[in-house]
Amino acid sequence: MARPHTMSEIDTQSLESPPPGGGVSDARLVEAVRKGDHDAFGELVKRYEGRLMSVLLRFVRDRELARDLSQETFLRVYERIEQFDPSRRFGPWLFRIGVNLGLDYMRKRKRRLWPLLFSESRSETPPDPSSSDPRQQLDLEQEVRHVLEGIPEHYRTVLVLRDLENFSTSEIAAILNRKEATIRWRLAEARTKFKQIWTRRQAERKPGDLVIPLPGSEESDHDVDE
Amino acid sequence: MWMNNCRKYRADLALLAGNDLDAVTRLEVERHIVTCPECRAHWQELQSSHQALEQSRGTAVVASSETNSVWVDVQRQIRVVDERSRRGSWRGWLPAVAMTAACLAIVLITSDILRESTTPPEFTQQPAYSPGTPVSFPTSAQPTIVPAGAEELVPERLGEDRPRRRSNRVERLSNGPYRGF
Repeated sequence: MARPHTMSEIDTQSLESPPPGGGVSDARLVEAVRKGDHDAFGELVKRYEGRLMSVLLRFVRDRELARDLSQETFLRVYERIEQFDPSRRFGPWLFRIGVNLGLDYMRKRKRRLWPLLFSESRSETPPDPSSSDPRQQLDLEQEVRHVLEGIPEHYRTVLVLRDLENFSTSEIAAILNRKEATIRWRLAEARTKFKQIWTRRQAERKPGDLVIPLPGSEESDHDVDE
Repeated sequence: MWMNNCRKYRADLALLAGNDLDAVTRLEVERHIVTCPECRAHWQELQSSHQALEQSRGTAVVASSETNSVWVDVQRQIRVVDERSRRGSWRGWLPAVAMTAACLAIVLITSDILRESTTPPEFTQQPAYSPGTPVSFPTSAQPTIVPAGAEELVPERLGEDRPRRRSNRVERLSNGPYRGF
């Protein structure tokens, strides 16, 4: 029952891991920024921009928009750097600002952007070369998107951060400013709800319909051929 | 068959699907799955849906090499923020400074006016009178000319010694047909 390691899991860097440069810690960089060191802030931006954009892209599903929101996030972080508590971790604080921006944006465009999760900017997303048939991946993503639409936002946010962005539950607790027990409860609820909707949708498919195969599973090729 | 404690394991099963359980709880839940067919079926569905969710996440991840750094744009905006905050700090003080200057001006002006109105006119010290010394009068002050013998004059009260003059109407009434009433 060990959790499989995916590419995204390997690529994404934990907020608790040491900085990739092996150099200055976040806390020291923040201290330098407070003293007016712009280069220190540039180091923080470069350290977190990739993952921040990835998270924002999960919410808004538009690369340009995710880029704009990440810029706005860093700008707000810079403006509020004096309010940051140095005894806490910088990463969750930054992601809290970013996630709140993303959620606010989504709420403003409710029912217009959530349906675009996993679907918008499709042309900009190159197909996964490891997948034998890109259509399988697209169908799977579309189906997952429909299922996610049926989950309330506070569950969905936890599910996206944990299972799609691979944050730990303690990191999600820090990002969403909730207790870890609350996050774990929400995560369990979210997975259960996702399972219920997913199972129902799979069962409602007509016998002749294409069953969404899981890439890598043995029956996937057989189902597609049918 | 649904056991009473299955409800307790349902949340743990969902967490187990994402490998979010500690080792002790995990062993306990796995033992329960073996003994409970309902929970085993639930667990299999959870595994299937969770696998689908994990498989769908690959393409949305933004590799850092694909994106241009946002630092250039952020840096430009930071300069604007710094400039604005510098100007903002001045602007923040500006009303207070203006108000203070206005108050000072008012105080200065009013104090000048008050000083002018309360200062007594300057008198030149006149030399003590001594007989034989000609008395000089200030040229600006007009001497009051008092005619000789004026101290004997008694001010005459207006109309006191003159006969009172009746008005035409009173005259008519007193001389008319109603005389004697």
